[in-house]
Amino acid sequence: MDELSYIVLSALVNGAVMTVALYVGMRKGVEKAVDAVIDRLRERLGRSPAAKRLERALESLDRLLGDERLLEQATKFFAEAAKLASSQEARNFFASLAELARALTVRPPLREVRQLGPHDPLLPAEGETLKDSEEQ
Amino acid sequence: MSEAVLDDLIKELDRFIRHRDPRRAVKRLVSAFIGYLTPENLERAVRENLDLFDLLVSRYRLTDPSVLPYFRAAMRLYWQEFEEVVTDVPRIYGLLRRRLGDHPILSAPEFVNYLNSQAESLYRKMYALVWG
Repeated sequence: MDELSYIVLSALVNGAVMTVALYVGMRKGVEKAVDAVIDRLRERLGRSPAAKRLERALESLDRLLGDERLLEQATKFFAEAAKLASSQEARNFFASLAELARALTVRPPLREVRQLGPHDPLLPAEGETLKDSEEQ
Repeated sequence: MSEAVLDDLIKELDRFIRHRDPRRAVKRLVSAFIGYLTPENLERAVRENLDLFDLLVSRYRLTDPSVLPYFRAAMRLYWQEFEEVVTDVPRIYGLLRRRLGDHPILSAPEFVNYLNSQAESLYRKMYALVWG
């Protein structure tokens, strides 16, 4: 359970950083966001007394994503907590976490890529340009 | 970590989980990516057979240990939305047409072949990176 608690805590820390990254991403555009997040992390890692903890949390998230068994455990743990929690707010919170953990765990099957065929109606007929086909 | 800090973190995460809007987020990402594409860039990509996955990985430092865990987690959460776009080449083509109009590059058979092969390759490589 200690390991699980640690992973849950790490996931929370990482989730918060990810939230910030996504928020910055929405505001500043993907390219700038990535640079901003990396710089912010490096800056913090260089200064903060919690550097080691953050570093461990990062490794932990990586480990968590690579370990289906742990993710399944976390999903069950949150689902159980959602049933047992006394307040509605806490139940909703844990249910959301269970949903999040499930989304991280379930590996979808590879699907077929729908290709653009040479005679697709989006393409102009042979010898024509897109402009010609639009005019018709 | 103090309780107040942990409390803030939980609140932020909670807000993120409850209010995330995957379709809007993915739409913004795709628009941002399409926004970088110019006819000149596309012509060069086809001519040099550039690998879009490699370009994305190097530009956004996706395999950097500071980025990869977040990227994998975010992509897992938004996988369905990403997959819907990248596995549908006619849809990507439609988005490109909306941006580039009737530019001749879009009707070149080499470009269509390139687009088909890159969508396939990008999807498979991204799958391996995110779920491998």
